[in-house]
Amino acid sequence: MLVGLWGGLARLGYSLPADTSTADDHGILMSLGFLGTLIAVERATALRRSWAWLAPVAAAVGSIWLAVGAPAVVGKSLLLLGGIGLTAAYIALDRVQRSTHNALMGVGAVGWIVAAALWLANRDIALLVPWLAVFLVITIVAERLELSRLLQVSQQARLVLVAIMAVFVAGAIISTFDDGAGLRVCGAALIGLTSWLFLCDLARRTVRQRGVTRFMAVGLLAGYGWLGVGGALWLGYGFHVDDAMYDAQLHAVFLGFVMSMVFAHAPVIAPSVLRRPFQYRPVLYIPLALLHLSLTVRLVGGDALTSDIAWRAGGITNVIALLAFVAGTATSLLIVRRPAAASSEKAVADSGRWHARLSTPAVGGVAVGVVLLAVAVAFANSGRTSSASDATPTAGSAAAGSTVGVAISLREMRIDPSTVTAKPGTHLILRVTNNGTMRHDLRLSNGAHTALLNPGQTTVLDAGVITEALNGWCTVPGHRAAGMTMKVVLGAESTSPSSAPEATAMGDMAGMGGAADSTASASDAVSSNLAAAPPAGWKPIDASLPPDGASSVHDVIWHLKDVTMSVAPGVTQTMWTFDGTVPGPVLHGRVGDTFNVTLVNDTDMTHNIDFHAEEGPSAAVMTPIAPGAMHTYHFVAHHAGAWLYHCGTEPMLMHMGNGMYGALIVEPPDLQPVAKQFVLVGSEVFFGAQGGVGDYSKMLADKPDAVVFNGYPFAYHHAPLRARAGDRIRVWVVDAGPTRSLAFHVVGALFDTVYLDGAYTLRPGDAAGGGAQTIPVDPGDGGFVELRLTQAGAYPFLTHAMADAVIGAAGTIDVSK
Amino acid sequence: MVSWWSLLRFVHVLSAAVWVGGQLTLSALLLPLLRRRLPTELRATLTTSIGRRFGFYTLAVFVPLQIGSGIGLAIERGVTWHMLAQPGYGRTLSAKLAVFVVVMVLSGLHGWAHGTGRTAQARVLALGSLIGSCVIVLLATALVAT
Repeated sequence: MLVGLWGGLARLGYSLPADTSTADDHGILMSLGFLGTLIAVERATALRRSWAWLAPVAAAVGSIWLAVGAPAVVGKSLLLLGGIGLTAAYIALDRVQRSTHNALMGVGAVGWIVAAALWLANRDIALLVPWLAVFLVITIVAERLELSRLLQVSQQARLVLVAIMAVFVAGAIISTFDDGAGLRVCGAALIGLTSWLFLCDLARRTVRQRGVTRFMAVGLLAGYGWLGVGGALWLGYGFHVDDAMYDAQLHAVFLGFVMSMVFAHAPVIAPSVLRRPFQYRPVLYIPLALLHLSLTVRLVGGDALTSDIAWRAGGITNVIALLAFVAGTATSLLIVRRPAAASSEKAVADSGRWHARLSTPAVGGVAVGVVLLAVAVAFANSGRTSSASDATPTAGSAAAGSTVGVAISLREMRIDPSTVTAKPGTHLILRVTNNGTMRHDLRLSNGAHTALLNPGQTTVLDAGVITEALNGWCTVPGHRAAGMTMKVVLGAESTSPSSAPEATAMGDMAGMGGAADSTASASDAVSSNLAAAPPAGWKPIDASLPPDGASSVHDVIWHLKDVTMSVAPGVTQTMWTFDGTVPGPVLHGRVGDTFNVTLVNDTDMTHNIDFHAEEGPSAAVMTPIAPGAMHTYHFVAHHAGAWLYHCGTEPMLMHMGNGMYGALIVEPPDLQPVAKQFVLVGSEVFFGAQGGVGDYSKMLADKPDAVVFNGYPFAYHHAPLRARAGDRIRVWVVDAGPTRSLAFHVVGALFDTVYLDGAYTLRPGDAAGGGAQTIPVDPGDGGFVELRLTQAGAYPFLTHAMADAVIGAAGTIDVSK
Repeated sequence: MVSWWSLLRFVHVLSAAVWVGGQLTLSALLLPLLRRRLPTELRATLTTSIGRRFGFYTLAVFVPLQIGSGIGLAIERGVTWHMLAQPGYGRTLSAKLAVFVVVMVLSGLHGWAHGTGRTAQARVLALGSLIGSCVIVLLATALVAT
């Protein structure tokens, strides 16, 4: 009946790592879970009482429970319950019909109870071994006795058998107090039993027959052989001399004898339990041969000659043999054709007990489902600590890895705690909360990561089982470099909050968003010649000051966009922009004008804007705009100046260094009209990976790849500013930095008017009669100069900080006649 | 917070609920009734056409919807191939995907067995598929917690 379930259990039992110290569990699961269930099902079928099904159900559920790693005490209790149920079934059977075999099986069932009770009491697994043997060996031999039509057993022989069994049980009892002596006594009993079986079992005669009879006999005799080997090892070596001996002692009896018995009896038991015909096929010899050959390899090659490969190969083939046998048996049962479901309908009609109502298809379906359940849950829960082994007192394997939960807080620009210490094998669960004002996430170097979290949002991140140190960081560009890092280190304690953000990850810029991250600057884009011609389609920013318009109210709507653009010959970057350009659009008004600037955030990052002409606490006036949101900033320009505006979102250096800045021109009163007005915004460019965002480590180190006016190196060499000879020109200069100052200078000209720091420092006709050659503009500052170029020709302009001029901060004014 | 992602998850859950719930209703409530109340011949044609409809719904609506929305949810969660082998969330998800495949195969085989008159096999497959779908739901609930 429960073939599928048994198959699943067998697999589960053996999927436990047989070569680790926790391997002992699989033996108990195989003995009590798989075989115990099998035996109890058979008894329940024989007894035909509903309650007798308690035993197999308890054993099966208990084994699955343990196999999937649920709390062990419940699973062990269920197994104990199974043993009690089986014993009760034997007692009930005894009332119906008294027999030696039944009484012996009852003794065997007591072995189950003792083993399960010892296990529940967390005693050494090795102490359970004799009792598991009592259960299985006695039950199986009694089973042979029950099938007595195959045996010619005299009353005398029967008595001898009972005596041998008594010695065996006595040995088991002794082993609980003195395991060495007990095991030797058991070994002697096993040898006696082997001799008895060879003498009395018909198998040595039926082996000369054919077909299934012969198959069974071969299985039986091979099994008896292993029982003898096991008995000799138990008798000769006693208890647990070393691991190899222990392995041999156990597997000779439990694999060699017990499993061979199961193989041999399957053609008889399976059909009677399942009430299905069983079609014997010679192919069943394959798993049988495989079992015995692999066991020989394992014991002789592996355990005796200490070849690790032989031991492993033998062990794995043992498992394959068992699985192949289950598959073969299932096939033999399923492939038999039989007349349609008439019989099962009849069974439904005269339903007596509930188990009689169960038709074979229903049970088969349930079995398929239960196997799916067991395998799926076992796999889903695998890799974590196996709590099925938590009571194993044998190995000194540190009771590694409970599940540990740690709360993680993300805020600008740090992660708390910055260090989480976890024992190796700990299953780490992080409860991640964004306590900041912008979106953040957390990614670990093992690939686990959260989604982008909105402010206030919490999520649970399964970091998996910790086997190595991990790094964690926020992947929002710039945040990692700005300090949003954490790490998981291996250690004894569970967690230790550490307040100082780690600065170590500054050079590690994997969070910067580009495809090839600039962990090393080696991955950054390079422009072989900053002065080379820009790519086709490049357009310079129009440097002309836009008109200020008739109205004193300026309403504009800008979109915040990530734009991939050429920032230098051969270098393309994803720039963060105000309305698609770097610098952003020029705002132009007069003192007293009202500006209503609506920003629509089309990016997946929080931004805001800081107008230097605006006053108020940043929290009130520099409202952050979440991805997808929009906001209108209102302010009145009370003061004249060449103001900088820029994104004020942390890390500000990153946001400014990646393009989010522009100029706000507020004219002073009574500004003299001029022929031409230009706006030049100076800034630095830091190449990240091609197509990626700027390299934050370069920004931090003040190592720009280019210094530019209006966004592109030598932009106005390629597209010179134009004026006519004799024109009066006003040049508004704003330095967006982020870090370097400008020394604005026009080659071949001098300034007769300079407006800096909110005042004219030089005007034509000043009493001092001076002129200005270069004006200093600090980052975040601006001003204007006026000049008149009287002769036609090309006038270069530049920052007189020459190193910066060489890398792009230069242009040309073409003066025509 | 109701977002587009939660809408996607809603579709995924609703579609699964219809499928699993449909199976449960059919086999636990409807079929026993039909067996008792209807003559064999009528019953056979009725169950066959119900099965066909369910199969059509499965192939035309359920499977594409589950796979599509499932991929979407995986993208939202940031699931990677590498992650599928990781203990915890990854393995639970891969177990769920594997059982989904098995259940789809089982229910396909059920349709075939029913259509070719293999009543007993059809019942085995139907029950297996039904319990398997419940396993998927179980694993899904486990996923939410991890």
